[in-house]
Amino acid sequence: MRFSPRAPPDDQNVNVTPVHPLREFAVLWLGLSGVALAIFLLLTLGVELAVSRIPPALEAKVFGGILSEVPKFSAEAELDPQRLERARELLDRLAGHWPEAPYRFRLGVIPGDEPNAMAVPGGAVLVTAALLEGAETENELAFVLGHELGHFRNRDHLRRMGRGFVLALMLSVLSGGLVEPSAPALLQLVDQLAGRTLDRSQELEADRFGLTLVAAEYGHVAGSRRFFEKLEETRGSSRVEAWLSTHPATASRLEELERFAGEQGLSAIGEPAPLP
Amino acid sequence: MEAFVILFQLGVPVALLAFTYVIGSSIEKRHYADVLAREKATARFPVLNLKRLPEGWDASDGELVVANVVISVDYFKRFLAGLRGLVGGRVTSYEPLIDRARREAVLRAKEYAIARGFDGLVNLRLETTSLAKANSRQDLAGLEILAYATAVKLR
Repeated sequence: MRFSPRAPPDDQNVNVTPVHPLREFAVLWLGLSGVALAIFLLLTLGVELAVSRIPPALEAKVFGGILSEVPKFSAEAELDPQRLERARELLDRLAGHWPEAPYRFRLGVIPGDEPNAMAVPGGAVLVTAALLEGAETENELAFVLGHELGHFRNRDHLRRMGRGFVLALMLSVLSGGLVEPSAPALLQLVDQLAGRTLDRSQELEADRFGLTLVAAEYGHVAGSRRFFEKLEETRGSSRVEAWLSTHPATASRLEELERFAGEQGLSAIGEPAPLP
Repeated sequence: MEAFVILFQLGVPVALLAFTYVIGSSIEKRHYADVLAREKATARFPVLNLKRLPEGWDASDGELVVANVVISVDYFKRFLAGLRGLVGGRVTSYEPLIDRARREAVLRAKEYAIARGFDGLVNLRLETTSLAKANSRQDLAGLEILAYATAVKLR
């Protein structure tokens, strides 16, 4: 047997595929992101279709128990009972102006340092103690409650829940495959960003409905701006923060409201009713 | 403030990928250059996989030669492999790693034998061990290649 010494040729390595790693990275990452985006959009569409088809009776049955869970962390005890009673009664009055309302609304109070309110599936409106305490006039509170009723009308609460579920699903699929540890954090980010951009138009819709309810109840919309003016004062809207937060920048919201009020011919002149 | 948190969260993995890609590919290039140079230098030294000595080879001395090398995966390679793990296909990011490791191990065995005045390696075998983190089966930390053969001195 003859041994012929031969240095291996540099460029004929059969064991390595001649593809540049960055190209591999670009193709894989963009491809997967594209697929993920497509699936996400499809599922979001699915959520939209489903939301309009879920009858409120079913929703009330499934989620009706939520308000009974609230007392567990309720901050009702800290509040002035007269104010709370007035708030409950106010919610009923406002709902009265929406005859097609599919369920009875109930008010719940949760602890919180910042004034905030949310619509919860089943017909519950949760507000923070800070909101009730900080409200100066009834009209201000009426607008906030009306805004939440607007969310119910658009089934936003269900939409938000459905979308959250879709994103959670995507998260588990994508992070199950990817080895790299910070992927879930990355996707959580995308969730925060994407979810918030979509919510802004919902917020404006709810604003408009809230305004019409207030006008129906009082005959004018004076005093409802006060809520926003207070928000501006305390938080100050930095441009970046405005883009990142769920609610559209207060200034643009005020503009939008004024424009809408003008369109609908709602009067801004009137005496706001005081709260106890 | 929130803006910084988000930028940070996005920026860290991206920066890590870029950083480890640059460093990892430079280390790989240098290692390949080194391996090629040494392969050229030791090309005349016969290495055979045969179990028996070829006809005409009369060995006076024989010794077991064992050589191994451990090479680690970098973050960028692992990320690419993870993406491949989702869709399937050749894991091209690991190919150069295994190639280098194998060639390095064989070279080390050769160089050991040459240094001790042997004339060739017979019955070369290769073993691969993958090093993974204790709790995660998918996370490849590195690769160990073991090359062992019988070095022979011919009369």
